[in-house]
Amino acid sequence: MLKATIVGLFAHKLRLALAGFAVVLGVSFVVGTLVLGDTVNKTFDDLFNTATAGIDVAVRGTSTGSNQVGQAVYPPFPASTLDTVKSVSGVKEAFGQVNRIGTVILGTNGKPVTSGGAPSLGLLWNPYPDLSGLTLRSGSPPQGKSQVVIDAHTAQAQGFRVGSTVTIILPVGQPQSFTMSGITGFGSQDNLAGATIAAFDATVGPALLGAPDELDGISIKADSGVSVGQLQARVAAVLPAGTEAITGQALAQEQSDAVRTLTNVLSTFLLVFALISLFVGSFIILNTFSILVAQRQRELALLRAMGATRGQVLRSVLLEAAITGLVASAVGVLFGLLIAKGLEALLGTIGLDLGGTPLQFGPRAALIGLAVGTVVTVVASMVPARKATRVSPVEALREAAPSPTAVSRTRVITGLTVVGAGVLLLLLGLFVASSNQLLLTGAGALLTFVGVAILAAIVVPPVVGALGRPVIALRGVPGRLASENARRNPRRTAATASALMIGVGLVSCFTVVAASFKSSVNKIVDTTITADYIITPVSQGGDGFSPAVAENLRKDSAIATVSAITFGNFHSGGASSTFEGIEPATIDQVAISTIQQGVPLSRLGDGDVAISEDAAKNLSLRLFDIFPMQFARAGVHQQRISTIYARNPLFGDYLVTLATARAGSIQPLDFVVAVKGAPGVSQADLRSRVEAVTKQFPTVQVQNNAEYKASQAGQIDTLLNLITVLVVLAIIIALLGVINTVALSIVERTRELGLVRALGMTRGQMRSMVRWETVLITVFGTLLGLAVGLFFGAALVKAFASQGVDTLSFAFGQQLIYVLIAVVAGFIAAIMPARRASRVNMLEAIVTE
Amino acid sequence: MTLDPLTAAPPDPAAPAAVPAITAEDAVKVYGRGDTEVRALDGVSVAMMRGRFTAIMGPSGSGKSTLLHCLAGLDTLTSGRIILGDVDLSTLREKQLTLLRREQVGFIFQAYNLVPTLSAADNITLPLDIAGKSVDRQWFDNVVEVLELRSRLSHRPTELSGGQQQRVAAARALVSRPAIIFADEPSGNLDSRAGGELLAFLQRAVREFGQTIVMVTHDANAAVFADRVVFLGDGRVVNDMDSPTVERILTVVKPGA
Repeated sequence: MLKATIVGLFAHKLRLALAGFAVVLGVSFVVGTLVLGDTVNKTFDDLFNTATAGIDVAVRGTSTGSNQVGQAVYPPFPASTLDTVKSVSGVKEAFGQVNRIGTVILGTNGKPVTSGGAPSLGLLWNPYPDLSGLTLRSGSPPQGKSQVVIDAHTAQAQGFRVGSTVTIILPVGQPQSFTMSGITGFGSQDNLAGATIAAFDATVGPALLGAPDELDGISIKADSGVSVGQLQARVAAVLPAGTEAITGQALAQEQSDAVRTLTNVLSTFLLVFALISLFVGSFIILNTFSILVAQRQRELALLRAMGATRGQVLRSVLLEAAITGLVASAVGVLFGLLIAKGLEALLGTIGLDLGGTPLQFGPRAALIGLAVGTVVTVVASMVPARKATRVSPVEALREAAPSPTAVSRTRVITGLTVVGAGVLLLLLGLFVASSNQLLLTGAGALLTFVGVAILAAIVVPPVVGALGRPVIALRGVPGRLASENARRNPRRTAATASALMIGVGLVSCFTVVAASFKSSVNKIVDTTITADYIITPVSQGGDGFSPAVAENLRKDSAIATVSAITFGNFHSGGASSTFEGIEPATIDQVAISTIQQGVPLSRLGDGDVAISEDAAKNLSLRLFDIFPMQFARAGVHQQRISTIYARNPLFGDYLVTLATARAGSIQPLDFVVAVKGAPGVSQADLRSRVEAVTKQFPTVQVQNNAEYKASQAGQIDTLLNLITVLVVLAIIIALLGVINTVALSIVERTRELGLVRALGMTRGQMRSMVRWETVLITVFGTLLGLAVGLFFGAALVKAFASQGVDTLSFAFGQQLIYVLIAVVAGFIAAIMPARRASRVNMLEAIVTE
Repeated sequence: MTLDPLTAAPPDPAAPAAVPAITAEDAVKVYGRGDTEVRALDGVSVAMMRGRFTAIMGPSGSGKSTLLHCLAGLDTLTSGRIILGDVDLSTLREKQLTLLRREQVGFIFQAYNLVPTLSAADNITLPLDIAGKSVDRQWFDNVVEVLELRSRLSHRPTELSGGQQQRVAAARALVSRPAIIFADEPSGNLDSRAGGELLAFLQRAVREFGQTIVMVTHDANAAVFADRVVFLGDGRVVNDMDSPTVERILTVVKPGA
């Protein structure tokens, strides 16, 4: 029996190759993601180990909570703490560090040097090599107010040499020019994982970085003979409140853990798409094995007639699947290394430079890849394997082509049950559950896809029949035969189309979400923003910009209103939320708000907070209640609720004055500045005056409402494109499945093809027939995908309603384009099978021995 | 079997029996090369007359099927000529051969005659539909009536008996009124009663409608429905017989041609 399986495997190797390739792609995506994750983690572990290698003890502010991305925030502390620490016996060296984001180096083209989302760091040059991760590559350390050291990556990319003049936009104050005194690396890396570095002389740096009397951390080297534990205890004993001492080792661990959290989010995100690809691949496996079993019915019956038990037949098919899966997975693991290389390059473009870290390819990734690929293949072949056991020995003697099976009642009931369960889980995840939402939603989506795939077989005859009508009108007999062929085996067509449905469904779903976001943003901008121009950061990395921008704008009398807005995170009662800092005097001139209770925003005081009706309802807060807010800097602010306003996505849920926000934030950065011109100043005139100011700050952009809307839409589209790219692999796998199904069907129909050729179908007509059959399958799959995708999209949008997405847009135009793409994809997928069909040997096909 | 009075179409009086519908001139077909060379046709010259029912007989390997395929434009000769009407098939390209088959030739094969996804009616009109020609309804009804398929028109091939399937194939061959119909063991898969009925229909098509039919068979009982039997052996014509009877055929076949 084993021998029969192996022989069978080789006999079908071509037919299995395409299905195996689906597994190869899925596994390689999984392995690539794992390898990349390991490599990123290794990079950061090495990085932080280098950086903290010589640090025995570190001092920092006690954490005041976390920021928007969930990383702990350690507030700065008084600079005098350094002297206190230096006086502790056993301290050999101690260095007080300041590091601030928004220290943007301008390139030779006058544009900010940024690599995607990585931050722009400004810090002090640490003269103690033991305590610093920075290593001077060339030149000398910065000295005095006019010198700076730049990271090697930036220097190389911009062609800066020692002695070059470099303009830097400081986090506060005006941009300044510096002489580059030296080039630094970070350990062996050229920069800090993509972030740019500008290091200043420690004596003047704090002032340049807007932190004249404070420090963000102190790193300490112990005298020989003093243990780390002893030193930590001695330092801790003298530290002022709001600061803490930890060991250098703990610091390294914390830092790499913090980055690990971020990279894990990234890995998981990629892994989800990898698993989707494998899921799609499992459809192809199921379908291929079903077809093979159907075509081998007589062979299997013969085996049964010769005494093979059902168990042996089952094991034989499963073994064939296991071998196919194992071989494909092994190839997939190797391909995974290529994918990891590609993903690494992709990370480079968004600012995460892995430097020279070699790909971390360990047994873990290889074993997971092998196991996942093999298990998926074997599980997917269960259904056809069981079908194979039901072949009765008598069928060996019967002269019958495998006939399509009718749609059973059980299928309807099973399908409806699975879809019902899926939709229920999805809705639970989106609207009811307070934990595990993602898991529930994902499982719900998965089940819905499976259920629809089960039900799809039922709708194949009528739907494909209807789709076929225009094809018949267009192409006559070839069209007619195409339509009939696509319908003749509903299960096969349904399984093939369903694989495509998954990818298309996801793309269609996110298209709905993106379109709805866009129209919601447009509505918000149209109905609430009354400013003439809005100034925002160019990069979406999260860094704000210097308050000097607003300051400079205020000097121009043609600009009547300049209203700055900042963002931040605060904690209250254990929960973390975002707030906005606004200027009460001018906010009403640039944005429309609807006050439900309390004073207008123009009378918001520094001790007040305005909250949205949603926040009031959720937290059971009332007007004049005292609301404690813990900002990034130490100290809880007891704010009085002075205003409750109608929900407004532009404002979020909490508003305080800009002054209060500045007092609570580590860095006084602005995120939006809205301006209005003085009476009689034309828009064009106003713009040129605003731009005269902002051209000094290439980190910001000036936009009117229309431009702002367009740039928001552009960002949403970028995200949609990213998701589409990640789903493309799943779609390619599904198209391989289409090719496979059509090609296998053609093998099955050799005689029929020979007959119609003999009766006068030209080769062109044969190709046309196969093309349209393929197109009917791809379009059917796409329509299934759109049906599911539009539903998912609408559900997601409803779930986002509380975040201001209150307009549902299906983007039917875009969805229609997907159908047209499906037609083209069908034509492409049909090339190989069509050629094969047109070259069918008529004589072989019609001669009966 | 009685003649159906409804079949009004008379034999074509304008077709003199002596005009050849198709002619093979020194037809040679060689498969393989060198040691494996097989001369399936080794210089066959024969003419099939218009409005006649000609059978080609011969043992396995005699070249009878190869001759049929080459006559029908399904295969090409190594040398020699096939003249259909006034067209030399050897000068035609693949596409032209396809168009010629579509317009001038009808087929009845031994099995797998029908497209399983199409109804009987659609199978019958398939060649006309492929060519994009309109169906002569009156003629269609006539053929369907004669072949007793009226009640089966909406059925799929799997719902028809073997005899019905072959009659559908015959109807398909007749309905486009081709210059010539080639039948390859049309009754080979049928029991003797169904086979006899089918052959009688083919005979009627020749007698009443003036249809030209060339049939390959190895069965003397089938060959007697023809007006003439051409015997092949080792790729050559070895005998030629008009008005055959089973006894006369057997005298030729039995000794082993």
